[in-house]
Amino acid sequence: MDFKKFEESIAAYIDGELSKEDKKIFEQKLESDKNCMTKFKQMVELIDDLKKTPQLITSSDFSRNLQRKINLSSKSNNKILDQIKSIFFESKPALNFSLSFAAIAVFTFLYLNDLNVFSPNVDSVEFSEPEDQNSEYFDLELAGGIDDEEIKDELELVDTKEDTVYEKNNDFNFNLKGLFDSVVNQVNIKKTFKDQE
Amino acid sequence: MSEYTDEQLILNFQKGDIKSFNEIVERFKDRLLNFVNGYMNDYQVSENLVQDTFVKVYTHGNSYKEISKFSTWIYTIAGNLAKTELRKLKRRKTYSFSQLSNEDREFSIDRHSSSDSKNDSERTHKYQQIKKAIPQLSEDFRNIIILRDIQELSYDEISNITGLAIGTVKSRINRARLKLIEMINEK
Repeated sequence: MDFKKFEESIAAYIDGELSKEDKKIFEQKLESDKNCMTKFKQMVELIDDLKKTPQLITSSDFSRNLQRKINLSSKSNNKILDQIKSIFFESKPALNFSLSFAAIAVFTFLYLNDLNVFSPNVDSVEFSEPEDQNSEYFDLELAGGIDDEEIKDELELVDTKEDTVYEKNNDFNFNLKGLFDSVVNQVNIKKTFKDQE
Repeated sequence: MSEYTDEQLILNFQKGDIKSFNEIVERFKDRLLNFVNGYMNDYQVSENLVQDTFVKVYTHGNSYKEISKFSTWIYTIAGNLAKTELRKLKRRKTYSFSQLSNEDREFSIDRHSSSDSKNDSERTHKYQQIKKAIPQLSEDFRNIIILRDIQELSYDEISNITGLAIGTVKSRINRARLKLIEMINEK
């Protein structure tokens, strides 16, 4: 047993936790090594002194201050309880009604939300492929069975629709222009009357 | 002091007996003060924390269950409060053990030296050396020395309070004592 191992074993020896064999080795080292004996004595003395070392004691007003703290703590706890009580049991009927209504509304919202009323299940929605408007045309052309006349008709149909939109826009522009012109005319007429006067 | 055990006292208090609470305070106030002072090394702060510990026992007394020893429970509360306070202080960086002046140390250590009635001056000198050396130990060593050698708690109790394995507690107490001897010898 070296000195370091001896040091590490002192507490176990004092507590009676060394095995018979280790205890024997420890005691042999203790008797044969002066340094070990010194260290052991110092340790035993220290433990004895620590037990007898005067300890701090609480101040004379410890209990009074503790009582004050407990009273404060109890008061603050009671205050919180009173606030909770006043909210739920002593508030005005209108406030009670509002709180109840809000609670029901929240509950209903959450319930309906859970039933996918507000957020339908995405998996259940079927998305159709976007239709290619020219697909039919290309299919026919590939099959070699489409008349130029048919294409013309189709193009004319599209043109007609575009014309309609254009005409409508023109109507709108025209009407605006007409309104502007009539206002300018009115102003000019009034100006002419004034000049004549 | 009554012959009730600590556990019987807290059970009586849970049933509404305030006298039992007062007796708990009497039994534990000084022990807890020395324990908490091991963390804080400041008499006033430690006393405040001990009071806070009793306030917690008073307000949360019903949460004690007879699974553990009452002393373990109350030491754990005090230790947790001390650790929280220590963290706050460290965060504020206005206080640390190393920053304390020697005068501060003397104050907290020697506060009750006048009441020391030892006639043997050599012994008194030795106690003074120990009292000066303990605050200079690292926190881990300091608390274990206080709990084991000063307050004479069992390894089991210390293990529960500190959250360390019993084996660690045993090896640490040995190392703490060796360190303390080294520090005393240096002076």
